Amino acid sequence: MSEQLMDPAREGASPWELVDERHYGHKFDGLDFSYIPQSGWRERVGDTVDLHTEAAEDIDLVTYQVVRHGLWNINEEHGTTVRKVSGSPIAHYANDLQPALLTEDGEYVYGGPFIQVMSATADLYVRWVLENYAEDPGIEDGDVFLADDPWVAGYHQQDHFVIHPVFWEGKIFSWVVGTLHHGDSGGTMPGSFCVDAKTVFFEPLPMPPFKIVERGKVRPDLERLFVRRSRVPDMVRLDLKSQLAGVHVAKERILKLIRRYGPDVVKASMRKIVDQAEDAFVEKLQQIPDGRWATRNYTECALVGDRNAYRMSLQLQKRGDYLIFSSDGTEPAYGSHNMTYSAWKCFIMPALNCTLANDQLYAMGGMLRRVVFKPNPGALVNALHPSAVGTAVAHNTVTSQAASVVSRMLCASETLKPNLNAAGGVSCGCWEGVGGVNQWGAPFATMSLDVMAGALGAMYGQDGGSTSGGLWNPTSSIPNIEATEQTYPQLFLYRRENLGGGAGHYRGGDAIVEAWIRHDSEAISTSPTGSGVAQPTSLGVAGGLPGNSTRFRHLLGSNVHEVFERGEMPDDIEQLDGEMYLTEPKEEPREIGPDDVWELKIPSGSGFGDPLERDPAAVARDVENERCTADFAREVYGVLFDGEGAVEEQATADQREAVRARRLERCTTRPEASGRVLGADEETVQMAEYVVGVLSGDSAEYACGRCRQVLGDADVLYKEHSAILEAGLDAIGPGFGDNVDSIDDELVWREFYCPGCGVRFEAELARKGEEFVRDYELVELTDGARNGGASSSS
Amino acid sequence: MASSTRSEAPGTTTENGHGLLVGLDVGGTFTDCVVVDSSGTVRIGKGLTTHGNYLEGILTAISSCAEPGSVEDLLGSSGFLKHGTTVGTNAIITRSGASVAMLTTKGFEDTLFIMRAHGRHVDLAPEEILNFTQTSKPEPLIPRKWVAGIAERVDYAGREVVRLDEDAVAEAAARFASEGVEAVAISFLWSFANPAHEQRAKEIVREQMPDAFISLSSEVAPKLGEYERGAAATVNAYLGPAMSSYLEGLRGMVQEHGFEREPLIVQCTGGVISAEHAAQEPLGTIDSGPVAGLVGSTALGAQMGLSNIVTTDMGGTSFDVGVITDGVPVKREITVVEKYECFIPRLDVRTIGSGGGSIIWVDDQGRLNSGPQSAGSDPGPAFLGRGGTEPTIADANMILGFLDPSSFFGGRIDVDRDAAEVALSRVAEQIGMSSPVDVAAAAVTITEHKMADLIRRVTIEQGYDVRDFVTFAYGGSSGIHAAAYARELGIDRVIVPLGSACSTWSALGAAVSNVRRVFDYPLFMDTPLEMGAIRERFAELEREGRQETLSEGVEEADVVLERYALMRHKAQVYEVPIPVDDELLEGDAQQLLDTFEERYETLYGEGSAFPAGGITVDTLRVEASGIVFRGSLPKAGEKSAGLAPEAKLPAREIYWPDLRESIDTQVYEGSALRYGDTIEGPGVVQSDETTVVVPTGATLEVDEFGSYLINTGASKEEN
Repeated sequence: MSEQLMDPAREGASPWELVDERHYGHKFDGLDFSYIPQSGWRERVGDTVDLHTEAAEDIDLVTYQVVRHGLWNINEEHGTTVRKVSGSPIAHYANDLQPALLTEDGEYVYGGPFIQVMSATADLYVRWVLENYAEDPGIEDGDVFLADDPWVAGYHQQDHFVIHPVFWEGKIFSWVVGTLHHGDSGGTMPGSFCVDAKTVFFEPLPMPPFKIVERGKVRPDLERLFVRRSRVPDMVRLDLKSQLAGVHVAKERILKLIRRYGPDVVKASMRKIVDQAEDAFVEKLQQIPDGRWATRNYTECALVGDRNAYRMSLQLQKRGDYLIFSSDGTEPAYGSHNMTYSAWKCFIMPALNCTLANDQLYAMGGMLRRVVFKPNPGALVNALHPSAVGTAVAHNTVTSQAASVVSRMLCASETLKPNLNAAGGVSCGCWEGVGGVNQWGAPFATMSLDVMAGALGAMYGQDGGSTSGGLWNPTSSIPNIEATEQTYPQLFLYRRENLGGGAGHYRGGDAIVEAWIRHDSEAISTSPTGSGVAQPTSLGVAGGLPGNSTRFRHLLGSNVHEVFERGEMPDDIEQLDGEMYLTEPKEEPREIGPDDVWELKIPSGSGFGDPLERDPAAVARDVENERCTADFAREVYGVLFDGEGAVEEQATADQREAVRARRLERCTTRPEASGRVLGADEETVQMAEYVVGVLSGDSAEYACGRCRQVLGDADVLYKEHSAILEAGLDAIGPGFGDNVDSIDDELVWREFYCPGCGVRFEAELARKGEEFVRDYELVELTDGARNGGASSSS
Repeated sequence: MASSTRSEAPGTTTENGHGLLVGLDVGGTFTDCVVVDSSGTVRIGKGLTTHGNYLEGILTAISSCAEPGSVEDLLGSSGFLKHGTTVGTNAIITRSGASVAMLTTKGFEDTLFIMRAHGRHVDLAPEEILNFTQTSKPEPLIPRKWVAGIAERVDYAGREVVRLDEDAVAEAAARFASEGVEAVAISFLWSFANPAHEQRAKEIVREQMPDAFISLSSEVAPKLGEYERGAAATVNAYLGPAMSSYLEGLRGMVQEHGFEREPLIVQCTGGVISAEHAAQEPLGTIDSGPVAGLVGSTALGAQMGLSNIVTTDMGGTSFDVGVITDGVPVKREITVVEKYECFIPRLDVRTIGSGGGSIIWVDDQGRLNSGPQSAGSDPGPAFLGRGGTEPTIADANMILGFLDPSSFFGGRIDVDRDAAEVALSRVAEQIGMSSPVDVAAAAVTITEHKMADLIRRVTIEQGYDVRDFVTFAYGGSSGIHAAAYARELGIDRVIVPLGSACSTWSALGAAVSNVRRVFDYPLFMDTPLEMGAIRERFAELEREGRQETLSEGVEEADVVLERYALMRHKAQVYEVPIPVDDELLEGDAQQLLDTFEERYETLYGEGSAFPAGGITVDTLRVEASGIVFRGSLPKAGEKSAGLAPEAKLPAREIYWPDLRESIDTQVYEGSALRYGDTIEGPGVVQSDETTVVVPTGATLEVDEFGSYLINTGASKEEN
């Protein structure tokens, strides 16, 4: 380490010092550890390449709006062109693509309305190309670089990026970058989700950027090299073609805009788009107090046959006009379920895009100036080469975690709280590769796209949408059952909403459950590639409950055909006889026999707030609309109905009191309630939905925001003052804990209650004996009261 | 204000020998009536739309057209009465349709709620997509308790896997009947491949519910895709009872006033069908208003020898764009009704929220925007003085001088120009501009660019270069902006059909619409194609199409049948309709495949076709038309010798956003312009309902059909 190296945690340090490679003992060059541009990269590049930097000082308002819309349309047309030319189901249904428009030095001007995980990564490719290739082999007008190296950017090798400089009068004016998920890129498994991968060498070979197009001409040798590694080379060639068409269209339209308005005006508009997005983001940050928020999840079974759970921790710190994400405490990379630093960033972004930047028309560059992602080299979310990183089973859990920490943060901001969105939207891998011989005797292989039918987590003020996709892929879609059966030899028994949304003051949305049998086929197999089977991955906020876990079930040798003969249509796998096998999260392909049934249940959205706070009328609607049973309403929501289904108000109030009392009785740790209740005029600081702080001189205390009973000193985590239930996962509710035998680790479920009124503050997942998650800490309460507001970091 | 008006537009004759053609279009503000008679004139009548009972407004519009004669004289001598109605659309928006229940395959009861997992974001503008807290799926059209799962199953080949549980159907129907259900949608998996279960279920339901409106998915939309097919059956059932009673009322009213035949109802397919059939398939009336304008444009374009046309219709709240390529309007297979996607082939009209009533506002970052929020007609623009305080595009046009406060709607509506100025001044202050005129010019320019962006997008989607198109501009507000957005796109020709009467173009479109119905057969034949089987199936569809068209009262000689094969690469998702003429039908399979490849690459880009995975013909389609309008639009006779003196109105000061200056601008009276008259820009042509703007460098000429031809002076090379 250099002598000048500053401690990034010191007071007044720039948060960007957290990404200085000298702190970590690894080069952040995209080889050993992921690429992170280091301070001064821009100046170093400046000597080797001509960048167009001139921008008009002032542009009039109309021109700005016209150019702004023009740039937006260019980027959208780029994405639409890729979808059109490719025509692939992945591009069409899953929308697994994203165009980007960047400045000359790789700052995002626009991302697009497609897959949101790709909104903080094209900048890395541009900067890597500038840093590494400006001198040799050079960057020329008409070049297109092709890349899929997750240690440079992107999140797994199946996503291929094309990176295209736009030149104006000999200088690089801007960049257009497009990404598209290709159907197969090689590796041990069809579709390239290689659950058996012990290292990246089992997976598609990561390719750092190379010039697939030189000065406007496709290199046929490199194209051949590229498509050769795929099982479907012709489709990959067409996908590549669609991407080249996309960047070409975008470049031509940018040049037209420059000719019309002048380069300086277009550049000034680009700068202003980014600046305005930054200002808007900062303005939002200023409505949030400084503090720290955290969550903890697990991902299980790193390889087929592995029986361990692996901790994933995420912390969010808000410090002045910056957000800092870190993954301290996350366990080391192992097996097939890891991700690179770039992937981790990618999957954090959707939670920010949808809550704090949804008014910026996908202009993410401004926000990225204010968000720091602290590296954690070697952790499973920041894997070193050559860890396996292609399966993307734990990736979605990062989005789920980010949604949780951002939601917790927004609980402290009255104005921004209505933007929060708790974890949901397919919170872990539940992928299902299907292959075999189709109804016409030809071989086939595909991934089920039905997993795109995720559910949203609860919001503040409304329930999460059922089967509405997710934050990471806001425009997803699933095929009709008939479209699937027309193409593949399957016959579905059911596909319906799974009623797995987490309970809460606002309920999480429900995802789907579906089952199928083999039909008109001699052979069909399916390979589960999942996580979140033994334990839930979309954890609730503020006492809301988790959405259901993933579940793969295989019923062997069932009587389904006899049942058909009898004129019955089974709509639950449990109605059938046969040998039930609860499938492990990751398995080798399983043959589906002629009488077998395969069922997939995907994870649902989590709840927000204590279910006992839910409006009884909303619970009545839930029961009427078959979203929950009357039993569940009574036990979890504490709502009772008369014979007509109308809420019995007094009985409901009594039942809710009884449930609260029962909660406290069940607690394994139960501190004495302080008995001291805050006066109505005593000022409080909102920290969590049901926890407030009270400042008095140089000390601070926590109190229950609901009954206003003082909990205790803010020197320690509020959880230390709470009544605590620690129990097995089955305590969460029906279905949870059914598959805990998949792992050897003992995971426990903890709920934290006000010892006075029994409102549920929060809940968490832990390995037995593990410390509490420090899920809420406001600087004002923890540090501020004692040292005059100076904050500490990390 | 007066509730009706009447004017005459020059020049149409018909050769159909069926008597007068009457076209009726009920819009948000006005109900228009257009009568095309055999002597070559188009008569136009208007009435205020009477929400709550549309028939009153319709009668007013007809009677204003009939003046000085009586409604009875007019209707008594009419051969066809064609009507575009928004009753269906409104019933959906206001959720005032029938109580609907559904029977579906057990295990798939949630299909209509899952909405293929994209119900939240269907049709959202890009800026709304990330707003998860502000967007959600629509309110269900059917309560979950009224969706009954029935044990039955058919497979992809149309084979029965599980027999229909008839007892379960009867039980569900009895429950529906006792709970007050008025209409039942029946949608089983694969019913389009084997409709037997749906048909039997209908018989059973009919026994229990003799008066219920029953809609089968296999009849409404026999296509692959249980969600869109079921949604079509559901929306159809939802609208059925209301539409039946409305159409019965219409039939009663016009027959009472002397019309002897069956009224014809405009469909979103771009044709008309009898009111009797329309009552059975009310889904087809959704969005039929904008479609009628596209039909009229196709007819006029054909006679002008124009084959590539972009139609633009700007009204109070929206800007609608349609595309005609090679003389045929572009179609799509899906109609979106309040986010529910329903299979029903239709003419494709795309919409953005840019109309005269679009509100001008400043966002948090101090950027100026217009729309998509609209002040509509109530409260409307600030200058109407009906309580609207936010400035709209119409207010901007008033302040710039394009709209004439003294003769707005022929002077029948009082205008408070100051109110517009106050509203715009407020925005000027917010944004730091010096005057309301600057805000107005900026808002108009931004709006025109947005319109140009939409037009560019829809033509590119069809694989065409927008500069190869002419623009048709109609609707109340298009004339002001058309030359500007056309120039922006490098389009040099704008045609304002009917000239100053272009606001009634949709009613004229209805009048010239032909009977049209679409007949589909789900084929799912993969390569190698068996042309023999294809020919046989087409022959069956043609027989059915001919028979059904004749049943609409069309003469045998007037039946026209068009064949299409809807084809797809198996490894790709896009389905493309390929017209199958006699030569292609009699040719070998390779010819059909080549035609498909060629068309596919035109639409999706060179090299985009992926034949390696095989090609499939999903659907065979016959579109059956009954030609009831063989109108030609002949020349209006003598060319004008020069502008009539009454055509010139006093000049007025107008601020031109493109020039950024005020110019004393010549104003013309639209109703006094004649064939051959020419106007050099800058100039403004105004009439009671419309204003047409001719910018500097552009010229306007009145053509032989009474349309305004604007040469925008745009250069293709510069764009």
